[in-house]
Amino acid sequence: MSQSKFQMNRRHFLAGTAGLGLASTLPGLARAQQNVSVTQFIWTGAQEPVPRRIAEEYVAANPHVSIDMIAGTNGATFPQLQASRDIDPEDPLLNLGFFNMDATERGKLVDMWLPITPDNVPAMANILPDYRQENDLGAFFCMDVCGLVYNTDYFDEAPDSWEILFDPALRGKVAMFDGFWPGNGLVSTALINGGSEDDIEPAMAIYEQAARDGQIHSLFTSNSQAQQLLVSGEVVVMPHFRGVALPWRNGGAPVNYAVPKEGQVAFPEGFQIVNGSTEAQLDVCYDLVSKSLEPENVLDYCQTAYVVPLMDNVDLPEDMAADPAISPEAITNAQKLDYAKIAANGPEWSRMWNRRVKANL
Amino acid sequence: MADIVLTAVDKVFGSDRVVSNVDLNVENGEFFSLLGPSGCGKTTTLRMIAGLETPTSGDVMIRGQRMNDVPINKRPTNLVFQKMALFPHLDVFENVAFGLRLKRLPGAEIKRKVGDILDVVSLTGFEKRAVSQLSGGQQQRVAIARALVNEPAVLLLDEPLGALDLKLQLHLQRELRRIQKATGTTFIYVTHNQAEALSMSDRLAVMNGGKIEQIGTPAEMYLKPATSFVASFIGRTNLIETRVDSIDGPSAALAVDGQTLSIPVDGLKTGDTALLSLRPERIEIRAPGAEGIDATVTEAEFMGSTVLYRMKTATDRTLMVQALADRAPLGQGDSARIGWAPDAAVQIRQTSVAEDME
Amino acid sequence: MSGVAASSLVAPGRTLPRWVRLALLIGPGFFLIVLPFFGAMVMLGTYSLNLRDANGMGMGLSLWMDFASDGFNWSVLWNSVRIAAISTLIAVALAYPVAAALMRVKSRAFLAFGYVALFSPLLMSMVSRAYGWLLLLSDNGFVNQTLGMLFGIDPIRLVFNETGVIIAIVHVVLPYAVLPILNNMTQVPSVYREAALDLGASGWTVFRRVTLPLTLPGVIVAAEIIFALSASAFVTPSLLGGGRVLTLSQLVYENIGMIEWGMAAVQAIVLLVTALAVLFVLERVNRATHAARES
Repeated sequence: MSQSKFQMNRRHFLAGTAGLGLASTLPGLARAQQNVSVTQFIWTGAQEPVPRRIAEEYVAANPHVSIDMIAGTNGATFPQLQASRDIDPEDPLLNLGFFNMDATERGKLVDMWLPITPDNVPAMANILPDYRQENDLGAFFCMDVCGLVYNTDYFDEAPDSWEILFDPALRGKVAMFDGFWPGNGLVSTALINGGSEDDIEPAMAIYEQAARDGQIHSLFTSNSQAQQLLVSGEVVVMPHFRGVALPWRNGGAPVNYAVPKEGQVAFPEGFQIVNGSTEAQLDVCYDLVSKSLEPENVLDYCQTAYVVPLMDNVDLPEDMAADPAISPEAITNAQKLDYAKIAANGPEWSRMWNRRVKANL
Repeated sequence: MADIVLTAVDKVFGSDRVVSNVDLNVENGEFFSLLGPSGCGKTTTLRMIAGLETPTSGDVMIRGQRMNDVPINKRPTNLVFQKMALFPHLDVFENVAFGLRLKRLPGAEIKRKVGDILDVVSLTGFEKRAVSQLSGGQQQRVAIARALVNEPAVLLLDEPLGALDLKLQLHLQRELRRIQKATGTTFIYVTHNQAEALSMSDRLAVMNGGKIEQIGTPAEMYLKPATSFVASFIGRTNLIETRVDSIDGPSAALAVDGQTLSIPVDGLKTGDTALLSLRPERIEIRAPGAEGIDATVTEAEFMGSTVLYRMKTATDRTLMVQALADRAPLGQGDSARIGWAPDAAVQIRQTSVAEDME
Repeated sequence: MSGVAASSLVAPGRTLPRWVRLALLIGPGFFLIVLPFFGAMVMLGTYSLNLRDANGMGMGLSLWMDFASDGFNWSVLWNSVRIAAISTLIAVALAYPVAAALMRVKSRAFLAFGYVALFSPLLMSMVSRAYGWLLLLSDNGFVNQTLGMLFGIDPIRLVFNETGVIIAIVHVVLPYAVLPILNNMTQVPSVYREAALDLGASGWTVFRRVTLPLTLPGVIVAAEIIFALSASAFVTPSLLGGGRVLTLSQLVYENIGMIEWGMAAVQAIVLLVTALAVLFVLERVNRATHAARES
């Protein structure tokens, strides 16, 4: 006890002398607070600009805070985060991050997250009740949706059902995102075909047959691959994210997004605050989340990243409100997957996917 | 019959004329040396005979066949390289058998021929040795065997003993001579070592600045050098320029420090300047008071059987004098009487290309 | 004053102890390479034996048994080895003439161009390189369009399969293959070639009986480097394999993503040991060629 007290004292002492030193050299900052350094993880691409802007504004207003940014993907960053906490639970790789439900569920297994409650972040109360998390582990203020992304030159009419993926007329012209689809897509297909997160076999059998029949052109692993396949017409339809496809369309590519009648797959996204962060870091994290959840920031984020807001206080502009993918019915109708079960079953499904689908491509 | 005939051969690399207007005949069975300082064009000449270089102009004939356009691997010559170039991944037998295998001779014949040639170079029993296990002298004998086993019309040797120590050099010089006589093969031997060339060759050519200065037997080259370059490169000599005093029938009379000399007239007239080569061993140290001139020793170099003096005469001329070391040698500052027979000097031409000898 | 300073600078006999100097020499490399490597190996070992008991399966060899008893793992390992072996063969076969040509180039400008062209794959990010291959090799890509125009044939599947993966791997490893071979070639004096020619060998025979045996050590070093690189290649097969080319490196990545670190460790160790075994065999061949020279 005395030891920890001593460390606390010493830390304060050091911070104090540092503050004094700073105060003497920078007269304008005589009231310098204890310096805080926070690491924030954001997604690359269209999801980058808004969080960067918010962080810059925050640092400008709070000079004692510095924010390091890690831009990457959930798939690559989450394992690193978990490894860093395995090494030292008190020194995580990052303090605040943007995560999907998959990573969220994996993190819950190892006590990775801290709650984001309306006490800390009042705007949490504005998140749609369906998307509030148990114990407020995460601020899921938006979602991407996964539906049918297709080549507009090939289809005269937009495809309207997940069934199109298995249409024999499209043999060899369908592709899927390896690594993502074996989890979420399997469940989606299972739900439509009488299965569930607990009974994946109906879906697995369908994909195995599709692989054997040569239905699947390829399993891609990057968005640029998907774009190239779709734009060239080598692949004409694929299950993919609206948020990924719309920038292609708006860039002039013959690509569009369609909502399948069985429902899009909901893909909530939001903030997680990492256990092991210091009190001072947590304060900054709460501030950043609060700022990010301000309606104009949410809207800005949703517009730049082509995602759907999940807040009750965000007024959609007309063009967004008119989009069938964002309509309240579409959002209600969306397939909401049980990500806890997906995370738990992931390794087993992946094993089956490798052996039964990939091995038969 | 001439095995090798070079006619007006030139070789130009860029702006560098490394071989210039070379004419050469090498007779069948001859041990012929190309002697000269490094950069004189001797190795390039050899490589043109071997086929490793193509003459810029002129003809290379081997046994009456024009060879200019015949590639190296089709020429009836074999080359022993300065750096031996034994194949490090093959043993002695396979190195020697390399050329025979290319001719697809039957195995038994290869074995016999390799055995025979290893016997000639005294390496019987070394067949399975790796090249790296051999001494330098053994390696060189393998290299010679590897070339000779193909029974070339001409064996070309490019300073093959240069990398060896002196004692081994002397031993292998005799060996090479013996092998050449035993096989009757024509040898063309490139060297910068004048003693080696003199002792081994039937005839030799001295090259300088890409040109042949003189061709002849070792004795001719030494006793009757044609040019100042040859006179200085082969052995030592005193080069003396002096005026013709008088002509007497076939002889021209000259004087050096008052001591007369007589040379064949050869177109000289009274008052002409002649360049003479007076070998140090032709200058005698005489008894005090005998006919001759006085000179003072400025430097004495003890060479074993002889002593080489540098002596200054009354006219401030420095002469090299080589005397037998059969009595107490003179020391620096000693004076002695020196003189020479009237036929001690030969007339030579001034070499156009200046070459620093020492 | 200056004299005093000078004498203290050259103070005789006052050098650092030998072990300190050695430590200074190898220290940076040791900390940068050896320590992390062994650290990682120890970590992998503990994970593969489930010493952390993360999933309640109990410590021991259970993960290893899982791996070994599943034929799928072995077939994936075989994929990795086969792709690496084919890539190695092709890369070395392509690199050898390239090295020989670079040896002969005299023009400095042309040589510079050759090196830039050779090393250009390394200047690109792996992802953009893979994307470039897609543009070239896909059904509507440049290669298939050209073939279609010239011969009127249907597109040939050149990517999203093993062919595409091998093409892309060979492309990026080629410089690593050329360098050791080129280095070896520069160390073989041209006099060996001249000697063989002089003994009557044709150009081809010189190559087969002299140049190739003498440059074999460089070829083997190149093969070792390339095998190691292509057996562990991950981005190329996952981007260009289209899901059809399953390699052990991809299973490792997949398992890390799913926090199945124990199995990932087992697979990583298997991959490493396999690569080391192949390197060991190649090194024995290398030794044998040297030994033949010296025994």
